[in-house]
Amino acid sequence: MDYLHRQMRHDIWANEKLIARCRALTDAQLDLTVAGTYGTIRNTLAHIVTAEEGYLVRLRGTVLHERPFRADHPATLDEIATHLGHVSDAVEQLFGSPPDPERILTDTPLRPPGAPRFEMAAWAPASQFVHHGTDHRTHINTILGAHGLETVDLQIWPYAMELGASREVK
Amino acid sequence: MATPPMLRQLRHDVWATEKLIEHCRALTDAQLDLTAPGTYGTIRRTLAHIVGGDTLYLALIGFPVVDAAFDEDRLMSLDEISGVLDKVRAGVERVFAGKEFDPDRVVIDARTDPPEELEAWTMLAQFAHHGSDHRAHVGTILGAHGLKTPGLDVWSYGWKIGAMRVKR
Repeated sequence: MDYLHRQMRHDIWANEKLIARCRALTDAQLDLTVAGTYGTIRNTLAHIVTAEEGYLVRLRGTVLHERPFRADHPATLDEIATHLGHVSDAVEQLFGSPPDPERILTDTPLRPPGAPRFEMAAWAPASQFVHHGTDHRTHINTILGAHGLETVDLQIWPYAMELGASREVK
Repeated sequence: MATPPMLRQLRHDVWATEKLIEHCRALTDAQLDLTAPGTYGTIRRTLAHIVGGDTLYLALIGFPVVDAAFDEDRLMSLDEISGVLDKVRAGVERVFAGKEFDPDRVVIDARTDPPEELEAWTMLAQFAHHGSDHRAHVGTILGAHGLKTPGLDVWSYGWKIGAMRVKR
């Protein structure tokens, strides 16, 4: 299986785990933050998923749905989870026939009028997808920990155990 | 032959850690010992932990880069951490230099009781995850103390190596 596909699946799993953890928080807790992180837990979750939709739109060259998900309002966890479903579907479609990581992407349908056009190899937004998710989920775990709230283990190890890619030697 | 995306990701990871170490060279000793609630520990310890993790993941897939006496918990200078990262960088390249890396190969982690078997891809995915995770901690500590943070994402890396450009 394609390495990036595996990584993106881990990313989606980690987002799902984190959203599930956050469902046990109050509204006030969802709006907690600490200095040096991206923002509130809620806004960070929304930022992760809006960005992932953006990376996938660039990789596919087509939008995922008509109105792009923007982190321009206090999103509910249900709304974020719904868009994570779009991300998951798009990842599976993308790797239905594995993309060429060296293919040059010349634009994105989400580019605002007049904004500069960036050209890049496909591996760049795919790798950024993975890096970006980890980076911001760490912010949320930092916020949880700083406020004495339980954090979530989102490493590859628990994911691999669930998948059966890591197991005790019999 | 095209560069495997896995290698691209690990190269970004090593580049980001290197850039962060360089950024931290402008800090005082006292600043290197800063931390923030909810993070791993001090900046210095976190940097040592990142490269310590890198060496472990490489060793588990059969590419040891430090000897068994290596101890990330010892107080290390930035030069020492950077020296370990140089070995990590060379190790990463070695993984992909020979015959094609098999991500599904099963490796044994004998550090646990009972031992565990893991598919090799999990180790390299963890390598990248672990680095991004802990570099984010260092970024938070810097930001929380009003210190400048470096850009470590793949976009910054892509610009640096010429894989991204503005089209007029």
